[in-house]
Amino acid sequence: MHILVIEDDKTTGEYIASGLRAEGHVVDLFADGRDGLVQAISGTYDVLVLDRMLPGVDGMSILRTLRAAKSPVPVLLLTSLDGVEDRIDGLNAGADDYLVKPFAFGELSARLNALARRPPPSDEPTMLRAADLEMNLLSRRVLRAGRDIDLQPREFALLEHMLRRKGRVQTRTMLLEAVWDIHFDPQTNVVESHMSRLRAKVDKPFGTALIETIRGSGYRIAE
Amino acid sequence: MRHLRSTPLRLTVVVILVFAGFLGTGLGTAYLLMHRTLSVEIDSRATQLIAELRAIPDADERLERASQIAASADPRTLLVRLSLNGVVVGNLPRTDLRDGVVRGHDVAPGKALSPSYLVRSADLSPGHITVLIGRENLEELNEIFLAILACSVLPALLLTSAIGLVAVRRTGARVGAIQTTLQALTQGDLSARTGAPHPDTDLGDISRDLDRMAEAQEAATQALRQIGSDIAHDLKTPIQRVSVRLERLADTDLPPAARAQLEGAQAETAQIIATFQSLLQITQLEGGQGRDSFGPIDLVALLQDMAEIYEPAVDEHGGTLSCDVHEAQPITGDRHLLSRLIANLVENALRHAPGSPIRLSLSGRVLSISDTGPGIPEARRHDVLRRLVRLDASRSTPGSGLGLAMVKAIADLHGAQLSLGNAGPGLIVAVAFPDPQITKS
Repeated sequence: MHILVIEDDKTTGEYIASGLRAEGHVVDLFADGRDGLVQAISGTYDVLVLDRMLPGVDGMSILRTLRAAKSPVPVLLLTSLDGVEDRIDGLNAGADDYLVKPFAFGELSARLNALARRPPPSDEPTMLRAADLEMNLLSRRVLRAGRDIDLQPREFALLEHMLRRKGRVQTRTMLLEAVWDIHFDPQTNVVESHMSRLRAKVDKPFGTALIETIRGSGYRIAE
Repeated sequence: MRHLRSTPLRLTVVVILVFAGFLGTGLGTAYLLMHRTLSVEIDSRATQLIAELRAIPDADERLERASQIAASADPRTLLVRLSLNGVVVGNLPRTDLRDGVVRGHDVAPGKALSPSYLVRSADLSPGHITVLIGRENLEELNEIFLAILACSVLPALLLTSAIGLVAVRRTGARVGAIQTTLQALTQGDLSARTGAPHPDTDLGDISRDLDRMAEAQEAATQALRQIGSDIAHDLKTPIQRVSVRLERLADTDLPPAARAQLEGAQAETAQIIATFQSLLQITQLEGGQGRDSFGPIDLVALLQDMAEIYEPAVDEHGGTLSCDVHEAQPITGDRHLLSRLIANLVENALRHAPGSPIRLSLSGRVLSISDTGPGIPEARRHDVLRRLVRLDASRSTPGSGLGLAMVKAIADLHGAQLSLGNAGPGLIVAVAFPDPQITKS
């Protein structure tokens, strides 16, 4: 992917850029808001990482300018301060995702992948598959190796979310946001608990694990 | 009820009552005195007339004198009838009148008579006399006083009341503005003002002073918040770099002992950041941020969602999580903040009473959560709602000490009453939300 990073803090900026490059992405890094805005408008990027507070032109202004210019590029907004209304403000200004610094690199990487490869809304399958598991979205039945798996509604939603993003890492916070609409970090391992229940139904009886744990990041269903 | 407590209204009512009282007493006294004088005069005329006739000894002369009097009398002021030895003289046709007051048209309908008469009769032995004295003077007196009442007293009272009401409305509006401003300021809305123009009265002075005070307070709070936010930002950037460096270090090959140290450092950094975040957010909530995004909230669905999220985690700790709802009523608020409030309460129960049954319940607009853990001694219940207060001074149990302070800040923002109690055994925390209808008005 071609990624534009606009981040004024050198340590953080280089950390993001080198991490993304190590994953095989092409990264352009700018520390100044004005330069970044020019680059964002002129270049073609798959996704943009934008710091909220920047010298020159502020991150929120860049975002508004981009959206006013009808640029469809997905934007992940980085922020140092997570105020009560900051997330809403960021999303209202046109950000597609929001991440509070400091973050684990895995979190950023997973979110960028999710943003850049969002399926078009028209592409609505009725059947999701992974290895020998299939999920029928109309009858809401889940079969693995031909055997029925009985899932609670939220377990179904969790598995559906993972299946729709097959091959991509889903972090705990991404799952919390997408499946439960929770936008803060619980002090309790709620996602782990739900995941272990889901695994007890989906993986345990069948010997082979479909849901992988990615250490330090989250979970993934292999493609 | 609120209007009855208004000082200007009370003063106006008192002034009107005093005014009406004085006027009523004065007019009443004058009326009674004049009425009595006139009554006495009328009475004495009747007595005199009877005495005059009684003084004539001869029956014929008595009859003649009576007919003279009757002939020369104006029937509006005097009616006489004397019956003596079968002869009747006088200008009064009726005989059956008793002593007292009669109305004119009862005496002789159709004739031009006084509206009322005083009747006196006496036995002259021989002879019987009935004298009616016209009470026209008294009737005039009544008319005069009615006229005074209608033309001056009533308009004066009405005018006073009207002036009073205008004063009440004017001062009432100012008092109302002062009151709502004070309430808003108390609730943390430091931008509240009574608003110019301030009238040149004592109330105007008070509202101007209140506005000045609010302005000073807002500026001070703003400055404090800015400093807080600057410090938070200045510290967060280095902490963020530390966290970045630690994560880079984690990607390298490390001996197990060093890795254990590193993971410890990462956990501590995460805790510092979480504490920062919470402090910042609590400060913002106390400043009233988040209120703009309030909307109707389905507390039942929210509570059930939160119970569903935490149930597996509670189960893993060996406890149970139940959720029951009775006659839930609508509230307004911010869904994310409320989910955070419930999450903090569940996590607090989970942390301090692991393995205990946790009960979430909603009754009307009161949300409560109870556990069967050690609870909080009554004397300390107020303390735990303050920032960074934890009951164990050693701080050995995990947690930033901000969980309940955050709950309190969110509850306050929603105008909800937070109370901690004894679940016997255990802790029960109740959050009573206000009726959205009442909050609006």
